[in-house]
Amino acid sequence: MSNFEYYKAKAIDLKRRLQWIEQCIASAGKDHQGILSWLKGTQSKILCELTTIDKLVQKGHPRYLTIIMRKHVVLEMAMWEATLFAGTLMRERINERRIAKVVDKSSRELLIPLNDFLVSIGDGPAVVIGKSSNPLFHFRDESLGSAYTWVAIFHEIGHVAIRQDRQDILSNLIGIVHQHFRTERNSIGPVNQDRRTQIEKAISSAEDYWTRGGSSIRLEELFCDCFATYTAGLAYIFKLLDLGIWLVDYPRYIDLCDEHPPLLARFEACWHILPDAIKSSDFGISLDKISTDYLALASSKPNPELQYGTVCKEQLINALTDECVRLIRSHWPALQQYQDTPALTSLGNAQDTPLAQILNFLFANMLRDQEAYFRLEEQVIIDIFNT
Amino acid sequence: METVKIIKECNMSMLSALSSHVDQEGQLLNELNDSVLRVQAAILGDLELLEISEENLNGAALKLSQFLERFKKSLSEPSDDPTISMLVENIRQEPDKTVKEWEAEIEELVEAINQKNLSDNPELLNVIEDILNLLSADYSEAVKALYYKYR
Repeated sequence: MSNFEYYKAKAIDLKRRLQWIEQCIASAGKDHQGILSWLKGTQSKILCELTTIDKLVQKGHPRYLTIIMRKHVVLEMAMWEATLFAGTLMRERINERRIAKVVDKSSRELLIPLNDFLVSIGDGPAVVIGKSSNPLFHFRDESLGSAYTWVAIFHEIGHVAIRQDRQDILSNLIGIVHQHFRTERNSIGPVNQDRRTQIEKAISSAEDYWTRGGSSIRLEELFCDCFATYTAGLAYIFKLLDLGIWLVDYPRYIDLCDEHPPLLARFEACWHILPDAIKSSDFGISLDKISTDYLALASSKPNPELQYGTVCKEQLINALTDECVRLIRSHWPALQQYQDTPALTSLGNAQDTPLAQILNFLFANMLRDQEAYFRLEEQVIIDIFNT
Repeated sequence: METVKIIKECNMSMLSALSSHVDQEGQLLNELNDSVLRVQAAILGDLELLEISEENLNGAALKLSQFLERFKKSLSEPSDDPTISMLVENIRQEPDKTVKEWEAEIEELVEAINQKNLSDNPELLNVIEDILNLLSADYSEAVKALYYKYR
């Protein structure tokens, strides 16, 4: 079988899979017109590409073979995404719709409009897949019974927001990284050649950690941490810290297999954004104490090639964080930074109160009066799910 | 134990950023691949068969030359574009061709595109084919990671 025959066969397979998507579209209800329209558009694009591929296969010129191969790589991704969305659409039930209410509420409050979106619930932490106008959010099962987990929405909406202008945002952040390490190179003092080579190698590895290949993913994660802290304040830092205490044994360890920056760098970036009034609130002081104790007790695991102090130097993290805030303000000027110090008195109907305020209120109570927190959280879930 | 926890939690949650990365790279790959197809179709006399207009062809030529100019610049100074940085880094590791040779081949191709005389030397397109194959390989890897982890 020639390669052209193989791609002819692949086209048949893709057409077959498109039929299943067609069936999903036909059997879907009238909700999710945005997703349905996107699915139909994707379906047409795939069909159109298959027609082109068919013509190229008929022509059979060797110069077209690599073009067909690359087209198939892109088509497979489009098909996977369309299948994921169609399947989620078919599985949507009351639980998904409940969490969709929380996502919808926060996207409206953050002024990050979503044309239409889907929610799936199951294993694994929060994830967002797909285009910024029609994303698919995935949340853990426990988001149905605990408002505590909802704070992840602020980070995930950050991913949706960045997709509106990812190239520009990441280019700016990469520029900051290059600038920082250029300064580091220029400030190497008078040392012998061996030592200089050693220092320069460490600096290059640190720079690569942030910018090499797909590693700009780490800069996107840091941006989303900043976005979530900018919009949800201490509530996000509390959740991040809690996740760290639960899961991360070595908060300073530079792990090349993890696409997130080390937890300590994420935490420091978030803390850097907070207004002083929030840092000095009771809730802020409590979190500062918890983090100090956690970091004092956390073990160290050295990485001889990548030292935390070089990769995540305070000046770099602060410069990246300042740039993230500048980018948030310039790209979404209407977005308000969360400035409230959590009041501990009372909360009205959760539906009428911004989600960031609800979560800060709940978490502040959680540290102070757990019984009250238990009742308040239950009320919040009832208010929002039953609207 | 620590590794298991990190894989379970962090690798799943980083999928959002991976999904953005895949979207952006896929879009670039698709646009450049289509541009190469249009230029190639003109060389092979298949414009009518593939319903490619003169305007589409000119747009494709412009896109390719702009991309190649940006790419060539990145061979001599760090780029703030994450995808181009990745490609340049991969090229530097290629044992068969020096950076100077890449620069010279790119320059020749850009000139041929701008002078509209690619038909005289269609082999010049090999350099963009090589770049696109590197981009395609990186994209496939990211797609596979997304596919296998989001299940």
